[in-house]
Amino acid sequence: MIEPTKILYTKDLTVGYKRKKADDFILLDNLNLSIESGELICLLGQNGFGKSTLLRTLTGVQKPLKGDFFINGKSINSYERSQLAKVLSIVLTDNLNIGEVSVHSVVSMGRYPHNNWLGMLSGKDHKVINNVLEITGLTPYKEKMFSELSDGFKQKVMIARALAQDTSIIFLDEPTAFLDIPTRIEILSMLRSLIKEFNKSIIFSSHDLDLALQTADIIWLITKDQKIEVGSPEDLVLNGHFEKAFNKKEIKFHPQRGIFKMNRTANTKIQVKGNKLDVIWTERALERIGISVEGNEKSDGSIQIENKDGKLVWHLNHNSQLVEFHSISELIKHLKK
Amino acid sequence: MSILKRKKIIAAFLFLLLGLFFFFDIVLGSVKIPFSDALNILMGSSSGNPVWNTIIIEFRIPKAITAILAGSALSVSGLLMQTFFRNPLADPFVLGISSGASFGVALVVLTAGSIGINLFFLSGLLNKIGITIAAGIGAAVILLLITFVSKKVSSNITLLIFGLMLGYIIGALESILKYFSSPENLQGYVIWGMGNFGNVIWNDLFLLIPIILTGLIIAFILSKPLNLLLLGENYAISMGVNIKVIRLLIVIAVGILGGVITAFCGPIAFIGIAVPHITRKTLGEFDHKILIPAVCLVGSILALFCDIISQLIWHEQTIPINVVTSLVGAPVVIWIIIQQRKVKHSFAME
Repeated sequence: MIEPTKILYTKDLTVGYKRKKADDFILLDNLNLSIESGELICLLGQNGFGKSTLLRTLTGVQKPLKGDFFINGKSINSYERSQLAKVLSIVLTDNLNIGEVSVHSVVSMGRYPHNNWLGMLSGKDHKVINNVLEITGLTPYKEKMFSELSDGFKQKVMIARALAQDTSIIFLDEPTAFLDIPTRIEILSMLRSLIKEFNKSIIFSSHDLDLALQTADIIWLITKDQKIEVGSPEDLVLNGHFEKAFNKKEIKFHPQRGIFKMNRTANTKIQVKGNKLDVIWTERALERIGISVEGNEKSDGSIQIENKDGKLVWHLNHNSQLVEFHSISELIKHLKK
Repeated sequence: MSILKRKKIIAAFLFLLLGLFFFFDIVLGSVKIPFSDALNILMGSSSGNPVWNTIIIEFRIPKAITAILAGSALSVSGLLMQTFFRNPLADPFVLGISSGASFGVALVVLTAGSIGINLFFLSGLLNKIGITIAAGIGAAVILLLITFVSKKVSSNITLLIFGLMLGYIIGALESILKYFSSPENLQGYVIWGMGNFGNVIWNDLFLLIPIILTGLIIAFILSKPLNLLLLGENYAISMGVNIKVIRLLIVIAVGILGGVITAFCGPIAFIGIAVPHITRKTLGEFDHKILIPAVCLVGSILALFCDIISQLIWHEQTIPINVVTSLVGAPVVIWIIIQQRKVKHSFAME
C-alpha cells in the first residue's frame, strides 16, 4: 500500500494529550493525510484546535495517541533521533537570544546531523551552506551577528539553517507570527520559491488566512469536528469548508474576497459610484463604520466620487442633504454623526 | 582570515600571560625568594637556601597547579551551565551547586568521629576521597533540582533567585550541623569554607588531575550538542541531539568539575560565571570546541591572578581566595544584569 511518491503519510493517526486521571484528550481523530514531494502545505485552524500538537507529533517530539505515520516508507517508531534529523527539519517561533553567533554559523549548524562528532565542516558542507545562503539572499549578511538581526531576518536565517539540514520535509510552526505584513509576504514567497528550487515538501502552520490562501498548494484545514479537510485553497472556499471552520458570531468569511470581515448588522445602506478603485476603498471605510454598501436604487443615500483636476471629491446625498467632502476621513466623520 | 589571525594573537598572548602568572604565583608569597633562585629551583637545580626548595616544590607548585585546575574546572562548568540553561547568569556558585557540594563536605567533616562510617575518612587521602565523593553527590543533587525547576520558570532572574534561596536553605542546614559538631571539626570546616588553593599537596594532585581531566574531556566531547543547545532544546532535538543522554552527561561533568574543586579548595565564588563571559566577549566566539579550551586558559589565568592578589595585599598573611574572586567576579555579574535587556522567552511550541 506504500505509494512511492508519498514522502509522509499517516495511518489512522490520532493526536492529543495523555491525561493522568481522565481519558486521553483527543484533539484530532483518525487522520489519513499524505505529503508528496514539491508540495507547499498550509495547516490552518483556529487556535487550540491542535495545530501545534499535530506538528509536534509529525516531527516526532510527541507520541501519537493512536495510529502511526510513515516517512519515506518507514514508520516513525523505527527512526533514531539522529536519522530523523536527516529527513525532517523544523523552524520554530522561539525567540532566540543567542550571543556571538554569525549568520553563517547558525546556517552551518544545519549541517551538524551530517558531519562528524566535533561538527567540522567538510568541503561538501561548505558547498551546501554557500548555496543555501545564495538562494535565500543571505550571502551579503553572512558575517552579521544573529542577535543584531530583525525578527524577519532571524526567521530567514532559521529557514536557511533548515535548508542546510537537507531534509525531504521542512516543518514551520507559524513562520509569519510576530512579523509585519511585507515581511510575511516575503517569507511566504521565499517558501514558494524554495519548493521550486529544491523540490522539497514544506508544511507550515498559520492563522494568517488570506496569505495562506495565496501561497499554499494544499491546505489542511482543521474543522470543528476534530477532522482535517484537505484540498486546494480554492476548493475549500467553494465547498464551504472555510466558512464552517471559521465563522463566529462577530466575524464572517467573505468568499468573494477570501478574507474575514466583522459581522455587523447594518442599518443604513449607501450606494457608491465612481472610479472602481476609489469605490472599493470608500466602501471599505463605510463598512468599517457599519454601513452596508449593497448598491441599488432603494438605498438610504448615495455617494458620487468625482475627480476634479486630479483631486478627489465625494458628493454625499443623504437625508435629502447634499454635502461635499475632500477626503474619506471627513466623509466618515460626518456619517458617524 | 584576519579574524582567525586575531584569535591566534589573542591565544598566544593568553599563553604568555598564563606562563607569567604561573611564575609569579610561585615566586611571590609570605616567604620572599629571589627571582633568580626561584627560576633555578623551577629548572631543577638547587638554590641558595634548601628551605626555599621545599617551599617552592612542596607547597607553591602544587598550589599553582591547583589554581589552574580550579580555574579551568569552574570556568568550564560555568560555561556548560550557561549554555544548558540558556542563562547568562548560571554558574556552580550562583545556582547553589557549590552549596550542595559544601553540604556534602560538611556532612563528612563536621560529623567526623561521631558516626562510625566516618572513621574511615579521618586521615590523609581517604579523607579527601570521602570529601570528594560527598561533594560530587551534593553538587549533582542540587544540579538535578535546578534542572527540574528551570523547566517550570521562564525567567533567568527567577532561576537565579531560586538558586540563591536554595543556597540559604543549605546554609541553614549547615548551621545545624555546625551547632552539633566538635570545635576541632568546626574549625577545619570554617577554614575550608574560606577557600584556598594551598590545601592541596602532591599526593592529592594525583587524584585531582585525572578527575578534572575526565570532567574536561566529557565537556569537550559535548561541544557539538552544546553548540546546538544554543538554539534551544527543541532545535537541538530536531537536529538529532539525544537530549536525555546529553543532559545526564552535562550533569555528570558539572558535578565532577564543580563538586570536586569545591571539595579540595572550598567554595570559590564567581570564577565560573565571569570567565565564560570574558572569553566570549574577547574572542567573539560561540563554538564550544574552541570556547572550552579558551575558557580553561582564561580561567587558569584569572585563578592564578586572584591567588597572587590574595598574597600581595598583606605580605605576612594571605587573605581568603574567596574574598578576591568575589571582588573581581561580582562586578562582572552586575555588568551582565545591566546589559541583559531581553528576558528569556518561553517556547511557542510548549
